[in-house]
Amino acid sequence: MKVLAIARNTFREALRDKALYVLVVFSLVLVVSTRILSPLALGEGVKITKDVGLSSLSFFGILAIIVMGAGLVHKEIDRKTILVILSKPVARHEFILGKFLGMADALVTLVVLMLITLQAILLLSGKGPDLPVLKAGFLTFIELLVMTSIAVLFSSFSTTALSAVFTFAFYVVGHLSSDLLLFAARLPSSFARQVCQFMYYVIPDLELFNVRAVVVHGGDVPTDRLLAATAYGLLYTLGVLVLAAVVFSRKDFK
Amino acid sequence: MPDLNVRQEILRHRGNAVRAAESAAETPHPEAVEPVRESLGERRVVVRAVNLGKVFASSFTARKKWAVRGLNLEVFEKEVFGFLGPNGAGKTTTIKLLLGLLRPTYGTIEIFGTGPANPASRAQVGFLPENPSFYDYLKLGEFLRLCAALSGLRKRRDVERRVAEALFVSGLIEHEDVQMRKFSKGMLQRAGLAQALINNPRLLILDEPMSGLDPVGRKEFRDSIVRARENGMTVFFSSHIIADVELLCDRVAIINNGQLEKAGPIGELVQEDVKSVEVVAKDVTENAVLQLEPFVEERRNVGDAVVLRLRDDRATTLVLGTLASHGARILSVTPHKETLESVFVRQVTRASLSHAAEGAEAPGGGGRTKRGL
Repeated sequence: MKVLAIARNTFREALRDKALYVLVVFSLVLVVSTRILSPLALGEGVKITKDVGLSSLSFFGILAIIVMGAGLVHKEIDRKTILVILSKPVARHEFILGKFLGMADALVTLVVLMLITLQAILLLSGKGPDLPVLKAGFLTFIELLVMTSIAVLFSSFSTTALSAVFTFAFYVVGHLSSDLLLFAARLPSSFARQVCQFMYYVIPDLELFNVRAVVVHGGDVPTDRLLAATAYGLLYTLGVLVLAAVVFSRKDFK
Repeated sequence: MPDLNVRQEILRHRGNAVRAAESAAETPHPEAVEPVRESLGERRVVVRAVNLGKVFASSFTARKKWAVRGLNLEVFEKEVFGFLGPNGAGKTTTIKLLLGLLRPTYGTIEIFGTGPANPASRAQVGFLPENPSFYDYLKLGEFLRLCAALSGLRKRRDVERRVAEALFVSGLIEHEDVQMRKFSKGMLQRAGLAQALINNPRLLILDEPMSGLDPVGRKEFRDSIVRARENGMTVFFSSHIIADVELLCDRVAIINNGQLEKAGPIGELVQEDVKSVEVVAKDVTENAVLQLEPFVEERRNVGDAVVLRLRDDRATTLVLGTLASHGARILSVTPHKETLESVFVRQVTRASLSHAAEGAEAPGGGGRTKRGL
């Protein structure tokens, strides 16, 4: 109940923040523009629409997390609103969970709006509705949840700017992390191999959520891939949130 | 150096104190003017802090600063407790420790018998932070409903009733649908009171509630505190404004440099007996002055009036009678008592001097277990 109240408030803040609207409008314009440009694409218009649509979902999602999520917790500390919230009978982990759910709620709005637009364009082109695109969109949403939890973790102990940088760094590294395993296999020293493997398990493997290449070319997402990636994403998110709650509950508010 | 700061502090607030006393004199609120001094008897302890200590350590320089050290505090049910100290004395730190916003380095705290680490200890507590700031994108009504939900109110009807009551008490009914970014300082403070009262708390903790308010705002806030006490709440408030504390509180604690200097009912801290009496009169003959010589400590002429300072208040009647029989006109008779202000100044300056002497590094008192250093 208290968690939901905090989540609702966070969502409301996101809605009243102009940044979210800018991101939504931008991404929608981008998707729609692919339709207008499709005559130039020599019959590949639908592929371009799908590709740009799904990519911009990921891109604008992570942008929203960096713009809003990175300050999620720290802004409350900075503005001292945290004093009002935590002086009520609210546990620290409830606050963290509420903040995460509120941001997730804002991301749901973004993702749903994007997917509806994308499907509408595909319908207009006579290629829809496209179920694999929805599955790919869903996996992107799980990826955004992972990134939100990371943003909440960083935001709970560092400043807004720093956590924005850290979160973005994790996003970039997360998309390359499967290379770490390949890299590890070629290393001569077993210690270095273990370090690389350890890094791989700490850093999220965001490429697991990327099924765009298959979907754009008309393929379907295998159900086991969908389930495995979802389970991985949710478990990773849970783990990071627990860590964030532990860090946050030890914090002093001077 | 701290000595000097404290003096400046007090000089600055002396002006405020005079203004507050004036505005209080204009308003016939017997409760506010005359603090009720009941016997403490067997009243329940609401807040108990034992040997509380908090050190702030900088992670870069390894320098430690003791914000609170060896603080013992008891607040009883249904009293107004004033927490008095100069800026930087540790008032806000203590309050944050009570609310679980800071974790004590050592010592124990109980609020209604529960430690602050348990959120349930705050179920019956309302808190107004110093210079509060709220979500400026929210309307006041939305904010209060959020606070009601966070206080554990579930039923819509309960929430609406509490919100309406808080709006009424804080005098903000017509601002329910206004975004809080448009609020003035005084309105924010009242909104802060409204959110503190949203759960109808048994303990109200106010951190510097009157700082930065205009005289009217301060008067209104004092009335709110009196009303809260009349409704059976315990009020704990910190202030560096002595007049407010003197007007409102049953008991007072003076804190300086993180240590409790003095605590007790105002009546015990301030000696009630009159120290001297000042009589101002006109048309005083030399003869009368000669006759009164043994009772008068000091004699001054101010314009065509004479100011006589008497050694003993028991001589007042005699002096007045003698003056009257010599045809003098009495302009005023002023008994001088010790004020809380003079007690405060004495405590704070004495403490600063001794702290300066012993050096600021020593945490004071042995035998404490220090955790988390």
